[in-house]
Amino acid sequence: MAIGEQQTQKDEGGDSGGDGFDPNVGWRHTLSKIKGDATARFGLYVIAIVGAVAVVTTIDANLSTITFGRVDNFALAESVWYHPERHPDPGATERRMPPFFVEGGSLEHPLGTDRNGRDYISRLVYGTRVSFFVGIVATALGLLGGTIIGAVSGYYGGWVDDVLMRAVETLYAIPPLVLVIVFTVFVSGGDPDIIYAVFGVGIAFIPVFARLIRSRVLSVREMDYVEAARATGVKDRDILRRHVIPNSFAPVLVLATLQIGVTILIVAGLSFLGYGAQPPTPDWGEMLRISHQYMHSNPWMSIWPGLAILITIMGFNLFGDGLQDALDPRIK
Amino acid sequence: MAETILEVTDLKTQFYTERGVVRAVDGVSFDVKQGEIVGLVGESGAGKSVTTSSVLRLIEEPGEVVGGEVDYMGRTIVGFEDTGEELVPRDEMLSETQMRDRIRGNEIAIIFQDPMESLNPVYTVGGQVKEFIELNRDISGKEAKAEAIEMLRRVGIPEAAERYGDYPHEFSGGMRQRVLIAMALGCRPNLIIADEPTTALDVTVEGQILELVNDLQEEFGTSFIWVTHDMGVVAEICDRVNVMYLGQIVEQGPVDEIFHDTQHPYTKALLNSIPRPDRTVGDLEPIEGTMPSARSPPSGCRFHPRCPDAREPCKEAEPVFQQVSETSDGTAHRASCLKHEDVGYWEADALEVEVEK
Repeated sequence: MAIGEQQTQKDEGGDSGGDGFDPNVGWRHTLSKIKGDATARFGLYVIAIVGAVAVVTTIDANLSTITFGRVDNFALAESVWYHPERHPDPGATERRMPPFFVEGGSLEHPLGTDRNGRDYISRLVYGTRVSFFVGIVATALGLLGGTIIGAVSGYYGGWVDDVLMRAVETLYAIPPLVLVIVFTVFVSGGDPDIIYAVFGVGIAFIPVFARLIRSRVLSVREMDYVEAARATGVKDRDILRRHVIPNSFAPVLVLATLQIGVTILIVAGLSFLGYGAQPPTPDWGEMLRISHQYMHSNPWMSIWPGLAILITIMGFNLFGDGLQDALDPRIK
Repeated sequence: MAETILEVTDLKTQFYTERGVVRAVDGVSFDVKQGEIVGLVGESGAGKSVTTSSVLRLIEEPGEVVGGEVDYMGRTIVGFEDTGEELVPRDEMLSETQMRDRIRGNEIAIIFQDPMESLNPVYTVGGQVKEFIELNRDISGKEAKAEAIEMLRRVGIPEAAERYGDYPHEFSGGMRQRVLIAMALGCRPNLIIADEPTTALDVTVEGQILELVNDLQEEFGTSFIWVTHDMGVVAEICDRVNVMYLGQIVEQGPVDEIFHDTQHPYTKALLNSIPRPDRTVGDLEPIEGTMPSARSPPSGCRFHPRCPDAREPCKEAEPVFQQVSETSDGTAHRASCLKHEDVGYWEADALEVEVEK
């Protein structure tokens, strides 16, 4: 019987809520454990806030709903970040302004402006968008690729395993940053963009996921329920999809959460090196790149995006740790 | 007499390990008739499970079925022909796809030993029963669900409809075993291979399950191959018994014959090592030593190093598996022991039993 048919019939028969894989019971249990874990909860809040900012800035590029006062004037589009009155001539001279609590600052731009006179808060808020989505999308790519490769490799074994794992290990031997830079330059043909960085980081993280899920699959495939499925005539593909992967997935999920933090950091590093987000797109790594020239005269320019990166990564890491504890049955 | 549905002839399965070839199954022959429960008995490592896996062609690397025939109702599951140099699979042997789609599950189902591990923990019990039924029978999802609930009810799960959506960890061991039986029976197979299905259960639950199987077997007319190491279970439900030792069947016959007219010393030793209500013994006599490795089986009779009746010829002569006594209904009672052969066993000296304690 075709899988498609099975799926639709499953949906019809869902009235008792008990058909097939119902993640709700498992999730509910996991969530209740996270609720009781203060640090994980804190991590979840941080992710939620950062995520909300990223979503809102994507939906409403005008920013008027979340920034205050006159700042919205500067935020309309990435190319128009200049204060129309104070800096009528964008290219003229030095536009930097320190935060309001330092001499020379003003509450008009609470965290100051960058060298082009663009409001720093607006830049930070916009930068969330890039970091957050890039972190998630790149990790998801690595997760998807790694899960498929690792699961197939572990389940079939033999030469399939050898070929796939040797390929993955070759990939693993190259430092991710170098790999991504080479990939970006090669694929983009000398015109780097954040989208290439996302794919590059996704590919660079395939080995991490592939190796982890493979090790789990090696033990899960020996379970009697996998043997029982084979003995009942279930196709290999369905055994992998329905029996092997769901039972191997918990540690991979935890790793993915932690990996999002790493991805954000790497993408920020790429932007810092000039291979990630390109100006004028606001991005934390890119802001760091510009600001490091002014480290002595105005260290705050580096501190703000650094803090933003720190807080976001911390959110994902705390949540990841909590998730790990919640999914580990040995920890009550 | 009932029709023979499964016929295994001289089946050989080997595992190619780094430390040598393991002859896990070395020339096993038995058959199963319609509606009968056939026992496959022996110590751990005798090759019982490998035999059943071979019958379903579920042997994985580094193992391989290397010889013999398995015939299921006229279909060749395993079959070889001799090209002069080597044995190659015959053309009419079912392909892997045919095995998967036509044999496994819908003709021959299997119940595994450990009910704790035979259900997938991330799906509901009902969903899994339904999945297997749907896969092996030509019915819609709704019908399959109704059938799954009906099967759960039949195997004695109380409030089957309510428990349909429960997860395996919410069931006890005995209940899970019932679910596995429901899964196997739900596919309406002709033959069920039960691989030590009650070993992990306590005795009271085991009793209930055996009774259940007896009832269901009568109702559905399904044949069973019952793999166990427990002679008590054999006495309880089997019609015929095959006793396995080190990859070979050493005695085969109707259950009463095996118990009351034991022909092979190994079977005798197995029976002496368990308490029996019909005999009073001072001490149980465990079988001395452990089974040797199937990598290098002993010469002659494979049981001779542990056999209390072993004599000189047992070291050299390999006993033939042959009919040893007449049974009332004409079913063969076979055994492989030199006592039944004319090789000078009765004149020879007894061997020292050389086992390490």
